[in-house]
Amino acid sequence: MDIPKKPMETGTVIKNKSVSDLIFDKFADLVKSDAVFNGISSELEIAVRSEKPKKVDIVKVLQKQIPKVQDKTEETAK
Amino acid sequence: MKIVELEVKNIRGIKQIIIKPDGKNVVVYGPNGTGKSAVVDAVDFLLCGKITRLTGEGTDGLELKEHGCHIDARKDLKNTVVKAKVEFDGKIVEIERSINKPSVLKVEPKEQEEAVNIYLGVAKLGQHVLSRREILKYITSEAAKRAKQIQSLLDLMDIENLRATLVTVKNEAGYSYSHEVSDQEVAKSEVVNLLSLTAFSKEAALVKVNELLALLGGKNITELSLPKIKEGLTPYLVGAKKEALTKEQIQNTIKEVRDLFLKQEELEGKEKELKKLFEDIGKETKLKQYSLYKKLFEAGISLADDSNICPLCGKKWTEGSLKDILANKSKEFDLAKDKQAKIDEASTVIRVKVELLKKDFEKLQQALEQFGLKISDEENVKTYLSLLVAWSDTLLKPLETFEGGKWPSEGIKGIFDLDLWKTKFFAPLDAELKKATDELSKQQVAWETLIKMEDTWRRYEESLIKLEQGELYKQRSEAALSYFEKARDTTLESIYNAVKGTFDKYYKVIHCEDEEAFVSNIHPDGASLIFEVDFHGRGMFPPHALHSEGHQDSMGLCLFFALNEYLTKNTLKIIVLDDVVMSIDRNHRRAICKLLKENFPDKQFIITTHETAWAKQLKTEGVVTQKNMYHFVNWNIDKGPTVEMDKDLWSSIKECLDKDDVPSAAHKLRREAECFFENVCDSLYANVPYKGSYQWELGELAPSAVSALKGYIKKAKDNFQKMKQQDKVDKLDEIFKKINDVVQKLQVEQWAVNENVHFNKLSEMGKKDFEPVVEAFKEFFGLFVCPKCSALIFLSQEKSGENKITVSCGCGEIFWNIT
Repeated sequence: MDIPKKPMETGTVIKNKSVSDLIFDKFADLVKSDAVFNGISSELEIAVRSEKPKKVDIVKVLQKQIPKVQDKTEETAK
Repeated sequence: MKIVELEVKNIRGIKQIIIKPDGKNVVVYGPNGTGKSAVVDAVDFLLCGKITRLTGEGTDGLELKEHGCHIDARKDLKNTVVKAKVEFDGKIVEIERSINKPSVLKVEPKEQEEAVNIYLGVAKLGQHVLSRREILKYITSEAAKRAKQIQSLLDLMDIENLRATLVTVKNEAGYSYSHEVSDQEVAKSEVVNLLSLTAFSKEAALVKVNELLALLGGKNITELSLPKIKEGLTPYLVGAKKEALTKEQIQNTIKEVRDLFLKQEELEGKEKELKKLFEDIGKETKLKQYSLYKKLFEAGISLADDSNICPLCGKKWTEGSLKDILANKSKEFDLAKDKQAKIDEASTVIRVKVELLKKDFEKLQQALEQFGLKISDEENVKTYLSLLVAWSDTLLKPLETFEGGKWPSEGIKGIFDLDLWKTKFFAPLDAELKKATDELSKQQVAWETLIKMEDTWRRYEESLIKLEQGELYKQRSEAALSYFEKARDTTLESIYNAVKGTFDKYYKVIHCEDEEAFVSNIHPDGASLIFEVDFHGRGMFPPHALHSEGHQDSMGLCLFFALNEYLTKNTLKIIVLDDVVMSIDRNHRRAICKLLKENFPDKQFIITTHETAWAKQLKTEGVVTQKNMYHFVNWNIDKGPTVEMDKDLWSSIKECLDKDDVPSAAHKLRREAECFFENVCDSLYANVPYKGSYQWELGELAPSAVSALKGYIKKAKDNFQKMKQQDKVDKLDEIFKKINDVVQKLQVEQWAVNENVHFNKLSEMGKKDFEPVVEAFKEFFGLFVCPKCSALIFLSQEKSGENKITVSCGCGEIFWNIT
């Protein structure tokens, strides 16, 4: 078996994701698939995945307004 | 990763020891208090930088730096070290950790550091050490507590804290949205009031604004927006201040209040509906309580810790885990969700009207001031205003207020005090308005209305934006919580399913004889983890309900192995078992040996026990080799344990004979032979005369073992003959002959053992005389072990399929069908 050099480089390490990581991954997938989180899904993921998630940070992301123009730009970019 | 060599210095009860497992299983055994558990702690510390025994429930005040080191090394923490040479990815790597800097793992060669740390990340889950204490946590704890244990093991406590935060965010977003709804209704009513509309609509407002613009010679606009309301108009001079109310506004406000009073019946109906909902919840005592204290529970969960001290009153909670109780109660709140939705709907209808009345009250007060009037009997008015404010607050959290006994006693009809409005506002204002009829021209009024429209429309637009934002925030916070719970539940469900299958498989290895149809049920249920097991086909029950203590211990062991397999994905190969088979009988211990050998051939077990019999059984069953038996004895505080390498019996006898100490050699031989043949008789189900003392002598054990073995060989030979496997028949003939030869030789030699054990002076044997005795016993022992894997042969019966009875060893070299 190869020794992994960086955490995300090998299958072994990915297999050893913690249960929390698996939950966060699933959560991120669900969030990304819902239009209500358009433009904030990545920020929300960062806020909840942080070492000590703070309510104030989560609220800030959830309250964030995404201009419709920006949404379109993002969609185009995708 | 496996341990090749381990050096422990100044950890717990150990001053300094070195053990050399060479990547193989190890048994550390000896009486209580000899430092065996310190080896467990040392390995635990080396792998994850903490000592699990010093953490968790009931360990308040225990610190690694204070209590993890040897008592005399507290001031010399640099010398509290665990070092190991480990086999890692085919290379030998040295790792070292000191209590002085527990988070730092020294790795040599350095280029392996990152890789080693990644692998040891798995150890932080703590799923490499199992003690009897942990078994009890899995098996006998209540569902919520078990869930907590497993969650802690799965490193999910932070996940639960985050979920509690998301619940709080969702609740706050709901309250905030309720505010925005009321504020928007008030903003709409201001537009209606200012423009004298019958009801709010953007179209009606636009028509009215265009009428005003036409009066002032302005152009029609097609859309209501702030820059266009006074676009291109020449300012008109007006006498009143911008914020002063126009005559029309005052009249409209009075009209609005009168219209609101027409809604009295509707609102009283809503209040009645609310009270009915409260009473329904109240009848279900639990729901009532949980709904009322939901926020407290959520806050409590995030604040309570293992100390079980109430974060509210600071007192110790003695009836189970405070955090679990709070979690359960909070969970049951969900049952009140539907009723809560109806409560929200009814209370919002009332609240909007109350907010409008509050706004109108302030406006008419301002109108009175504009006319230089003072409200008489101010106390009465203040009381009424307080009532409006009280209703506004009440309807923000109606259930809490109702249950808290703070529901306004006069009911909602209290706000419909028409006399007060007539005497304090309507009558004096009507009189003033009549006098002020012709003060301003139509154009001036139009100009003034448009000026006010700018502010009013700005507030409307702002309220609209806030409402949209609030709605989005509410939707997002609800979705975030829902997705988070869904992600947690589906992930855990799949983990528990995977673990369940492995758990059942392992348990059936240990209990194949008595519970071959065993199944379990492991699944999350909100904050709890349901764990039920089959009891002999009579239904599913909690593991500690009907099964014996020994069975429960087996379950704990199997659940640990199943979780270990899932969590470590076979990267961390070291498993420490700290005295875990205390309640398990000898037969099932043999099955455990089989489980360890057959299901975990690639793991390295470090097993501690105070039972010499279990240690020796591990050796005779081939789990551990002689070389890796470490006997801890004679512990003292200055030196720690004395470690006796459990020497091979024959080497140890040779040492005695080299000193010409025949009695000691004979004593060792007899004791070991008795112990060995106890295991043999047990393995072969040999018929030994029953003795209440459970102590048999060699003369009772050995003949039974021989008789059983001979009987099995005869049956096996018959079967091989039927199958025409002549080579195997010949082989068994050879073994049979050998048994007879060895037994005959032994009958000649055995007398010497007893003579010397009893220190019979008549028997003055020397080394040369005793050596043939030893050789005879060596051959005799060899009849019962596999020449290839050195494990004891044993009888087993397959209950399924052909119902075959066999004599076999661990490796398959010996496999005789004796059915």
